[in-house]
Amino acid sequence: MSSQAHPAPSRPPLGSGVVGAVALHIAVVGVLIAVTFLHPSRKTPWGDKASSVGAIEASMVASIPLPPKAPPVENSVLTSENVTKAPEPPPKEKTAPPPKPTDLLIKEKVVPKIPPKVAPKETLAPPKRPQPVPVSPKATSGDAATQLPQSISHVKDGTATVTVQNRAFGNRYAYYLRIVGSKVTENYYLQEPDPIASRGKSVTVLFDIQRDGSPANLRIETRSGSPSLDNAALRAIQRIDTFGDLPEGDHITIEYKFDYRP
Amino acid sequence: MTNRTNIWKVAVLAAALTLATGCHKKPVNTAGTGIDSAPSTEPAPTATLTADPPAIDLGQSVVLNWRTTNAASVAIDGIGPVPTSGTQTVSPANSTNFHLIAKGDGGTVEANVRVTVRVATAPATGESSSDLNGAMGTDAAFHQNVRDIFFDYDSFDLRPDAQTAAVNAARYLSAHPAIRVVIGGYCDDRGSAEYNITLGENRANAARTALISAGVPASRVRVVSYGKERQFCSEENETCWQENRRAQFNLDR
Amino acid sequence: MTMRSISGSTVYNSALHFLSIAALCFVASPMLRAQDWFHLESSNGAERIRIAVADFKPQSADASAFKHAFDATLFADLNAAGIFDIVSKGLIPQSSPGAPAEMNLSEWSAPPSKAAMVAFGSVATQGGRLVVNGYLDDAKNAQFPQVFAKQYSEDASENEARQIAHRFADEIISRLGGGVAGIAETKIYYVKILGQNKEIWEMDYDGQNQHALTHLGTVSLSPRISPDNSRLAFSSLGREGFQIKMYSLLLNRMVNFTAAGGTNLSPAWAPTGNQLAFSSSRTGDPEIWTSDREGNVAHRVTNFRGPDVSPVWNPKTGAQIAWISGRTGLPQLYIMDADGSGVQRMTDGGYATSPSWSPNGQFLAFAWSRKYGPGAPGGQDIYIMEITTKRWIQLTHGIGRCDFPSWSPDGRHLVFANGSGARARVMTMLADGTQQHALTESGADMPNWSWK
Repeated sequence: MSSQAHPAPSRPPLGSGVVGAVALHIAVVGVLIAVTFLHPSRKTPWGDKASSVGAIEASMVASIPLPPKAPPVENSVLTSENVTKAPEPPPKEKTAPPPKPTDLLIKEKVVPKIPPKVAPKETLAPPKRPQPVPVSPKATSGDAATQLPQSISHVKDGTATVTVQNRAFGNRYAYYLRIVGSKVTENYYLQEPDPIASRGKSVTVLFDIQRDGSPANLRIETRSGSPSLDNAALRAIQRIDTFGDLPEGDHITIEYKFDYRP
Repeated sequence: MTNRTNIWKVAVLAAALTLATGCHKKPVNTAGTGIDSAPSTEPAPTATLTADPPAIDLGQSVVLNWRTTNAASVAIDGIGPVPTSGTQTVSPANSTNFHLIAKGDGGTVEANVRVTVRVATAPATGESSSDLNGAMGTDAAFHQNVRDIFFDYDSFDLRPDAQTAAVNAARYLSAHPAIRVVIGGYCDDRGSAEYNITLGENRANAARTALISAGVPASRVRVVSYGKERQFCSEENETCWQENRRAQFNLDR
Repeated sequence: MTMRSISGSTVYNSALHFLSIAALCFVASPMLRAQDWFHLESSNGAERIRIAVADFKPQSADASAFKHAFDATLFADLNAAGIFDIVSKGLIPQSSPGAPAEMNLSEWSAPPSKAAMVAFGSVATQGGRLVVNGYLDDAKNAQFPQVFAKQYSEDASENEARQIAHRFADEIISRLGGGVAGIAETKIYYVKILGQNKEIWEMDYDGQNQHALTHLGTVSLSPRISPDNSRLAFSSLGREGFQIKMYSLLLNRMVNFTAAGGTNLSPAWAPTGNQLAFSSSRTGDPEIWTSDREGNVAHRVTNFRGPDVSPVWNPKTGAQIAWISGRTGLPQLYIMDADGSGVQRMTDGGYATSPSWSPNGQFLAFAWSRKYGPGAPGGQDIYIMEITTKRWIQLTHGIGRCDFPSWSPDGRHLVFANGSGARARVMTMLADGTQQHALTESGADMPNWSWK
């Protein structure tokens, strides 16, 4: 604005008048805006007691239990889901740990495969696995012998392996073992193990699943040497109320091994 | 100096803009309820006639509202020929039966409505007049002396004007010991249905307590809360909301 | 537990730009509280089970009419469950295997469908009966593919075809849900607005099969189904005002509930099914009372001047009651122990109504006008609050007035009323506010989801 004034020295009265007018306009508008914003409402909002205005004690919750995405495990409430402003569907990043009814080969492959960025997405591995194609699904073939009653999941900071000791059960109800594997993984919290103390360590816990699907007799089989890692593994099981009714039998015993490879 | 006037013009304009943008009014919600027209399988005429309000004090007016179908000529006693549908404001001096006749090719049909006119009688205190309407007297006389009580928003505390009304009501009730009263508690239609029923209960109870402390035996007064289930009007404005926030007195026959 | 503080304050920051300095002072305190909200990094997240739903094979000519209702309902049920990754209909093989012998699993596990599980079967009519054979196969288990097989037989009707699909869907969910119960067989009770009158109606959880239960010719409100689905408590307007009524779904008629003086309304079942809590003004002021299921052995729980109404029990423990109280002015949400001790105020402003307690006991859903009054921003919306922390989120936005949220038994869905007066309708959504859709036309209000 001042640049306008400079090249017109011949008409100082008009020039300065314009500048003054513009400045005053701006000032007046500014004052009006300031007044409007600084005194938004001197009245107490109608219908409310003055004392409680604005004093809403509750605060915005960052995430809600979140039924839709992950199966609602009670304890997962504070975990899971991303922080969202209320209602948007949480763009959940899931590390999809592919439950694999595996063959021995894959198990070996598992160990080296640990880059930490593996994290989300990457895991849609299942297609890799060639479907053993017996024309009749019921055909009994030699393939069965290679199936281990085991479910392996990769997470950001390691590998969880769930194995059922009853091999027959594991073969017959492989899908149930996959559910167990994914529920355990879902309830294992990445932040719990101390990253330095736990590096390269493994913990193995044992527990039973009773007829109604509830875990019992949780105990540590092999300590890792990192108490935080041991606890993280225990808590993952403790958070689970039920895996769903057993498809058969009274109980099964599950071995849950966690290799920490951040 | 024209600059100065310009400045003020701009200032006023800016202020107006600020105010205008800051004051968006919510659009008024007028829910038009469509009325299905009756299928004219038979050309027989139909007619309805209503009066609003159905009871007035002497000197007040009432709106007659009629609607007919399949009628060639329509007439209302005392008014004469009228359009097939319409409204008219009348001020009868006495309680009147308005009688509508609609004639059409399919026949003749009639409709009636009664407008009650409350005639102010000298409040004959102490003198329980001989009542043709039974020991409780007429509704008109009752409403003349026992006025409804209105409340502030989300409140069941009696306002000063309500205190006066309660004292007047108690005086009338004391003079007419045969009268039993039912007090209806009402709320405006904002807020939640369940909460409003309890709020209406408290309003009716507040009115009842006022009557009792003014000397009316508790056994003569009972309360019913309607919450927001029976509205007197349904406009979304303070006049209507106030109308609905009330404790209404009626003879408990 | 190592926790990471999240930036809950960003939400506030953007909001603050719009707040005056004066309001900022008030907001500051909740802001500070928001700071100690910790968030555990997203769990590792289980991959959702990818399931394909084959079109069922009609085994007789007249079965195809029922088949369509069945297929559509089964697909919708599994989709609504929210625990599956459902293969879209366009990607599945064109075959309709009606029995395991006709099933070629490799066709389903291969791309593009890449299903881990396949639901399939057949629909037939036999002498006026509708017979459905349903199978679930594990496409990843070549040796033992079958998860289960089930036969259903009902009178042949489209409604029964839908009911069978609900049962089959719930069976699948119970096997694969890791303990999540299916809700496809649940019911929703609600108030149907019929002119001046309001009656209690019932419908399936998906809005189908709407029908009347009561024909009382008056205003009936607040239906609440008992935990065992045998009785329906509600309140009804009579000469003495609102009184609690009881309808037996086993006898299909009204049964006794002892009347008391004053206004009695908003009944709520204890999870045992042996007790009710409700609001009663039998002693003058409306307070929360409890009684047995016949309305006897009544005890007063609250004792404070002002309206107390809309109680709801903690369904997990049965040891606490949440309710609405106007003791300090505008109605607020409170919780207390079932004996009336330990009263705790949950909301600190606005106008809060209609609580519903989540099945796991951790959350309250309720309707809230946070800034109440003309010109106030926002309207009455549905919120969820975590009880231990009093942190909340808003689930509905800008769809008009919302009220009467009610949790589904799996704690993953909510049903609620949207709109005022005769324009109200019943809607449902997932408990994070997504997938909102209407279940009824207008003229339906105050929904209540069955316990199972």
